[in-house]
Amino acid sequence: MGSNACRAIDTLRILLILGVMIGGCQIRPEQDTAAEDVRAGREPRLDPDYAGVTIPPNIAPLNFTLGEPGSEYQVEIYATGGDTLRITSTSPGVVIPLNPWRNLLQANRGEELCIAVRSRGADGKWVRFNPVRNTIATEGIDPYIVYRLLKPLYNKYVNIGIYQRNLENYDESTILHNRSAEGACLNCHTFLQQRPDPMILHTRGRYGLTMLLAHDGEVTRIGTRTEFNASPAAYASWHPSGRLLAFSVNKFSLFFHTEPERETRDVFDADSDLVLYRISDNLLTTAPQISSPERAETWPEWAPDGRHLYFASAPVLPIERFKEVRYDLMRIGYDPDQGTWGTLDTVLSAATTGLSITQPKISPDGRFLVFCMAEYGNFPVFLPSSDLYVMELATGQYRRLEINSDRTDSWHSWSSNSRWLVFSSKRRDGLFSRPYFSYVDEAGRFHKPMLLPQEDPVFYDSFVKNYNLPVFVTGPVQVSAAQLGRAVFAPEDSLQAQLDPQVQVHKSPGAGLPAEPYSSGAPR
Amino acid sequence: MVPALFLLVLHSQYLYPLAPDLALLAALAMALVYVRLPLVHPVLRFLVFAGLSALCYWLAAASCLVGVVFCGLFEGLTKRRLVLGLACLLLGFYLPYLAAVHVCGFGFAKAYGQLLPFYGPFLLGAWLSEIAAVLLCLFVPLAGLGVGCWRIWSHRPSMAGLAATLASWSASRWGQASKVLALLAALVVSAAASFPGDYKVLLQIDYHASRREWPQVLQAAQGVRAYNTLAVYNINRALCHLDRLLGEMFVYPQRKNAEIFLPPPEAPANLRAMSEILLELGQVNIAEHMALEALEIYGDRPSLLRQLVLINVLKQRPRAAHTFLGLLEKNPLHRDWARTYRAALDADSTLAGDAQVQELRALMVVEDYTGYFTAEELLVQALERNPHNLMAFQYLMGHYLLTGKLDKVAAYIGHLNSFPADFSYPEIPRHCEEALLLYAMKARSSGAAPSLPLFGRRIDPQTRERFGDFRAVLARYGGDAEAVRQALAGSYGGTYWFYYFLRGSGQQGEVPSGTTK
Repeated sequence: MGSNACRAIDTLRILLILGVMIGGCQIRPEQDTAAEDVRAGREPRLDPDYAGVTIPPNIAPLNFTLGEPGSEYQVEIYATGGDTLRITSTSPGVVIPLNPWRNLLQANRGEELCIAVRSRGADGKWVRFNPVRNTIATEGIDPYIVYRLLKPLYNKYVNIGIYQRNLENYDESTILHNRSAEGACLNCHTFLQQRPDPMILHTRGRYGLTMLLAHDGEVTRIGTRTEFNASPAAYASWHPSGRLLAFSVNKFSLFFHTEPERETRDVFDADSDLVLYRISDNLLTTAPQISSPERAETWPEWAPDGRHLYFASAPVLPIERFKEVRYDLMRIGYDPDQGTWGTLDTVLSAATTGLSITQPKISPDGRFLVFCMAEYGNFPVFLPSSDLYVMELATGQYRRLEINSDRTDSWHSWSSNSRWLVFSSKRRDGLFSRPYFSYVDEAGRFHKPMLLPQEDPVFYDSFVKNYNLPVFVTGPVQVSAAQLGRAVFAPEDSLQAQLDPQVQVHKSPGAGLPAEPYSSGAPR
Repeated sequence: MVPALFLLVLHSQYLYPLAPDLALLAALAMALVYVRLPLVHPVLRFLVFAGLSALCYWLAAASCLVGVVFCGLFEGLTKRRLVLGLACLLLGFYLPYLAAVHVCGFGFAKAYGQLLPFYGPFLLGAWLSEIAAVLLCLFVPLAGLGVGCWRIWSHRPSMAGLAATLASWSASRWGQASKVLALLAALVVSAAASFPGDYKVLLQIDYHASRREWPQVLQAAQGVRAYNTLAVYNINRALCHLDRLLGEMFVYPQRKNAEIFLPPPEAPANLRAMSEILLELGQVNIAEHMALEALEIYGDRPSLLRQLVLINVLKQRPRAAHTFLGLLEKNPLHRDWARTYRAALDADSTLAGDAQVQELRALMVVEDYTGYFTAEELLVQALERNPHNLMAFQYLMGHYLLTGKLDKVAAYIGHLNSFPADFSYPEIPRHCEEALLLYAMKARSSGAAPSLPLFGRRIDPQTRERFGDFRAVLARYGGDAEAVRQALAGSYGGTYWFYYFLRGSGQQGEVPSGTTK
């Protein structure tokens, strides 16, 4: 067969596939029976916006509310294979049955999923909308995410919990609520390579500032403050070996903005260093390259091979110059066998980008590094300017992700198969952060993100808590809330980290001292 | 009837919740079920007790112990099954330990205290209420113990006569009547003795303030004998809205040497009021801060949710306002308001036709000041944004008066002319006059002789005259502060001079002024 004939056959194939893709969502015999329908000529409005998104094949049903007036609604959800789901409702809330949804998605991995909607108007006529097209990804998503739920907090906290949510249904369970921890602040849950075990989290309350390490069904309470670091452990990253933790020790203070268009809260980090905690001998150590007195190092992230530590670093400046604080993205070599450090490189400088780089997170396959950039500072969740960026580690090329909104996008985390990114975004209302999932295809394109589905279609319309730091895990956390709570209550059982005698204690500017009250609004 | 007496005392405290009552009811129900068990075999009874008490502990937390004690006494004293009674007690008291250590992971104080009437901050330290709470818990076990003992003793030959006499008196008409009368008398006396009348007035003040009923706030304040900071804030706010702050604020108690309001972190009880005050001043972000702190501490109270709806409209976050409205719609008492507001917001997300929103937008601080602000800073920022912000001006002057910054009072007197409609008279508000006279006196004593900055206004000659009298009394008593206080309280208790000279230099707190009882 000649090459022209082959080309013609290929063209025909492509046209056939395109025809199926374009027409697949339109030719539904059931709908054609209603020939008298009024055609809206557009897609229906869905809330959450589940139109044009890529869906994990193992996600719970994407229940939604129709933003269309009507007294009755008919919804059909279908794909190339499997049975069509038909839902009739007199209210705009659409609740999709779990098992048929699951079967439909499993039977159509890699295919298009269509949602066809008809609504009966006040005049009794049916209005038919163009079908909503989504794509079912071939690759699944890790079945759990762990997050912290809390209201928009300032100084006082009485109701904070760390939860795990099964993404394949709607089950949510408590990992630890601060009711079980005498009202302590809970934060920074961190896992090793998306595995539910081991896990660390930090608590801050009347029983002290401490790190809880859960491993093999045991919980160990560890005091991480030493002569070197007056502050306890904060942002952490597990070394892939599971033997080491890198974490930052920071000196945070909360301050406020008066401009209404800004987030009221802001965080200033007066100084920070990075330290390593060696679990086997309970040793805390550091090196001048990651704990310079002149620099504030924070947001550690180990490369998947464990041979480099990425982090953010900025010069130490006083709080009055907080808008000038911009972090560079740094990388330092590490030999896990010898425990020795290599050279320190600037991966991306704030001088180049004009923005502050924080929260580096590397995909488990080592291809991509996603990070936040904002106009200044190190706490992107309070900065509306925070956006997500991706760097291809092989080339060093970076770009702003197409999935950003004009509001805060931050707190991102990779799935174990490097195909999904979960992140917190305030795009919905500007105040509450919600978890969104974006599919990352083989070519490194980030697809339109979708909001975490809920059983109640109007769940987010009255939920006044933030989803903080959502991270994927491949299974449920096994340690119980009671075990974690008991560890909080048992300061006498605390394991105090020992400072490496070789570490030279330096006094960073203001280290260990309470932050000075600061105000730019003093009467003139 | 006797437990009702204790309940009455407890519930007269306003803050006392229903949960401990329900928990005690659950414990009593458990005890009743156990007592009426048709089982005889001790092991079976014990097993049922174990199940019931575990269920009861899950439902009623530590209040379960009341039922446990009753069951133990029932077995030990009434049924003479001492081992079973002891076993019930041991198991019942082991349950909280089990919960604390192996199940829930919380502390022993919580495990053995939660949902008992005296556990928690509800009783405001009132000794009568605390006694009532303890007696309420002990009543059932003590009554059980008493009945058990009575049954043992009344069967002894030596007690038979006394038992018969008491039984016959109790059954007689007089006996019945005296018991009822005694209980009724006890109810009346306890309710009267435990009722926190002062707290009721403070709540009334706050209630009227939250409804913006300013004259009623001041009217309620007339009847108050003890103040808290919230009442001081509410009264100052009412005075300000009635344009009387600078003329009458020292007629009411004020926090001595304190800022006119405290910057965050604020005492939780004052957060809602602070949020409302700051919003009226134009500090939308700081008002949001206060409202969200309150929401965290007090939960989703409708007053806070409404405040947050308004704040988010002002911050141009209509979708967030919708989220708070969504929560309000779940409350049947606020559903209609929420739906009406939602409809208005759907029609125009800026609520441009809403008078309150427009008024606040004109006052909103739009410059980005950053940091951690004092009251003075917040007020100056508001005035810089809008020099015609009358509330900010009054509060700032009030703040300078409270903190004794006479030079600042003098410096800002000229601003009176920025509000020709509100200060249309040629004089100066009374407390400012008083402060200016003090300012001049102090300046002269230090050798300077400033001309009073009156900006075309004048000081009432009566005020000058009264100041002379005040100084004469002051000079007469020299450094004897208590004698000065007694001599001046009647005629000058409501003046700024009285506050200024008698506030001392100690810790922040309330200072007696003319109307303080």
